[in-house]
Amino acid sequence: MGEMQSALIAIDDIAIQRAKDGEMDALEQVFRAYQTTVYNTARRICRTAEDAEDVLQETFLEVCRSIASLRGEGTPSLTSWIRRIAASKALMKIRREKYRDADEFDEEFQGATSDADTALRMDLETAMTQLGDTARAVVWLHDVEGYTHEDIGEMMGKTVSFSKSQLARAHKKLRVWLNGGATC
Amino acid sequence: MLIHCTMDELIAIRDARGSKTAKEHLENCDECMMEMERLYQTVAAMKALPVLDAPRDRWDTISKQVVAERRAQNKSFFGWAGLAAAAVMALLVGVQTGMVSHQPEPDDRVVTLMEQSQSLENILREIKPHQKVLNGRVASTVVRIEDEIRLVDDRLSSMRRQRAPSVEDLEILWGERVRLMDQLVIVRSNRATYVRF
Ligand SMILES: [Zn+2]
Repeated sequence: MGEMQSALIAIDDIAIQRAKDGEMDALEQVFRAYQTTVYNTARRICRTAEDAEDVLQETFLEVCRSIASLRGEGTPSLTSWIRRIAASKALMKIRREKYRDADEFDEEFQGATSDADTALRMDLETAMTQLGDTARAVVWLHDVEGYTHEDIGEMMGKTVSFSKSQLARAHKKLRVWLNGGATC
Repeated sequence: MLIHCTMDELIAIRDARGSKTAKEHLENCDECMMEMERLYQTVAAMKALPVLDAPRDRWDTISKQVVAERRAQNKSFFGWAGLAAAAVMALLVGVQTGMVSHQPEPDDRVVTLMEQSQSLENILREIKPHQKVLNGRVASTVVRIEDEIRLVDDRLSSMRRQRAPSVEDLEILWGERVRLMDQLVIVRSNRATYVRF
């Protein structure tokens, strides 16, 4: 989170309260403060920049609609709430895209590169794009954004062990693609 | 010991939930230590990926939509839910009156499910106007369930474009919608803060 936290623009409690009261200029301040955080979460989870932009828009529409009902004072509760909406919207986006492509096909075969291509070492960004959508989302949310497997399971509507197995799956693939050779 | 740690075991150790056996092996195995180091390096590299800026400023679009929603009657969740229900009702009427070709008779169960869905929406309307204050966790659960319902409605809408939508599929989707609406009622009435799908 270090990089994204530093991208955050400060927003004061008065502005948060005004946003809760529905004042558009305060809501815009919230948008300006959090758009980079939200976009980066979305971009790392979604397949395309366009999908990430949609998630950005859907997240802030939800924020504007629901901020009045948010309990808790100050920036920390606002931050965790917005980040969670963004993660949920991004997860929903990849589910929708999966429906669009074909129901329930194996994500193992989504990427153009198979485990057999171990001779070719990839850079991390490319390797991330080659992961299945779910594995990519889990590794990002758990290892980078610090969500627990319980959080991720809840957001995905899946079990804790599902989240754990997706994380291991992601790392096995990254291990091969980034370093070459077989996993242990 | 010849059996090295699996990736699951390495991750478990990293996350302070590894087994004693795996930890002992790791401490005495250079290869596994190397794998653990790679795991840390990969995550460090992910955290160091550049921060990306959104290509376009979306605030204008968002704010216009928010203002439009505020102006509109039935601007909330129930607006689109009602529209989706109406669209599917139209489809069923089409099926019933033979407007859609090659259709089996619609199953009464679909109609029953639609009625159940409508009753649950009525219950939600009773809760909604008071705008109960929700904590972040409950609010995000509500958002997630509403998203799930939108997903079901997307699929119901896409059935409208099919020449021969199956009543079985309609029943499955409406069953799912009722289940989700029921969960939404439970969460919104603060009877639970957590719902597993
Ligand atoms: Zn070993």
